[in-house]
Amino acid sequence: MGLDGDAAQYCCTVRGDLVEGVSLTGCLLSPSSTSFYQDGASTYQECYGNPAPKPSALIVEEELNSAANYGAAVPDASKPAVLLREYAVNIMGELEGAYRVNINTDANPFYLYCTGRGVVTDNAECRRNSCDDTTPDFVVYDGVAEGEFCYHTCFSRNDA
Amino acid sequence: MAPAYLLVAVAASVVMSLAVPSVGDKFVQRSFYHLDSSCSVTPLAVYFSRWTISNPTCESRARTCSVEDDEFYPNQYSTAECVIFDDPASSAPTPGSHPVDFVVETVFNIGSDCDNSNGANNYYYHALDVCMIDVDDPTSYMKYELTDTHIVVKYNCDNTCTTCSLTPQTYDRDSCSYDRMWSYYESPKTSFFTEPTTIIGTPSAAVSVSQSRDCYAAVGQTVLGGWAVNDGSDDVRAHSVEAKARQAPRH
Repeated sequence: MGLDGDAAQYCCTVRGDLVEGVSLTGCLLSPSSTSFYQDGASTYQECYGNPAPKPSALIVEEELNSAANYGAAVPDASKPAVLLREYAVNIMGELEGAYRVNINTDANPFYLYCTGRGVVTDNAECRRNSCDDTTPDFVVYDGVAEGEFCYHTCFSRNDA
Repeated sequence: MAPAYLLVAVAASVVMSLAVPSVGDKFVQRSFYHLDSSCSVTPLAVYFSRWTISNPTCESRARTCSVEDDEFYPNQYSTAECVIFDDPASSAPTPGSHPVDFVVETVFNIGSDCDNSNGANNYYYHALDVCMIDVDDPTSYMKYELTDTHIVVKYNCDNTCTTCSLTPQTYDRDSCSYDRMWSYYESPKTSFFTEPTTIIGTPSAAVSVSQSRDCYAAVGQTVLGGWAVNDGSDDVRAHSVEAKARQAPRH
């Protein structure tokens, strides 16, 4: 992962702000109850160790460099039985996990990779977080109906 | 009027460029062959085919996942993509970041002795240590294996490749065998951090932290991106209760 030396390596999935010795995370800047690493004014927590290749991993090789700002997209493709955040993607140089959503037909798929899942609001937007931040750009399988899961912050390949 | 010395230089460069044999020849299609109909599982083979840039166009060679109907890969699904690769005849293009190693079969188009003078090779990547359907005989299975000195190809096998009725073919590694070279490609492995870790000491100063998300964590089937943290301090090293018995590796 690009770190050298005789140190243990971890991958920390949450970054926060260090304020008076407390780690504040998320849009609500909630005080963290768990321990964390600090680096300057930033904190890092929810960490994992023991790195190893994962033969069953779903890795999207090419960098995703095109943000999908399509408004509310309802796929032509059939809804998968289970949609997991199971794809390892590289979005403009940043490694992320993503949901893969096919917005075209099953026979001629066009995949978007979305890093977030939210809920459709009463004004047909996608609520991204507990701060009620919303976005008009999202994908929803079952129509734009309040309360449905929506997938946001989506990217594709430029040449897809 | 351009100076005479400049005209001579231009003429010389034209002659030199005409002497380069493979102008316009590029590898522009990389095909992946899978057993699953969504082309999600690691490919069993990757094939580079050579076309010129203009005919057909690179873009026209791209193909989404579809059932393969050619004679070489029956009962498989394939995707193809446009990859422009100048063929220097000195190195193979790479098959992408799949977590599997490959045997590389480099085929030289001019007769024998692996003559690469026209710079026009095709490259086949075969998954290593995978028992797969034999594309030449779909009723049997085959497997590519590696030793320190040889590539071993087992044919006419059962579906576990433990019993094979034909004598395995062996090829010297990195040596020419008539019109092709057999070699080994170790894929770069993407690592996933999988063991939940509790940090002791609050806050713990990290030795170094990545500036951007540059690692993956895997929790069951869920993948998360994260920041790689280097922790070199023995008294604050992160570990979990379970990890005490199986300490995270030190590098």
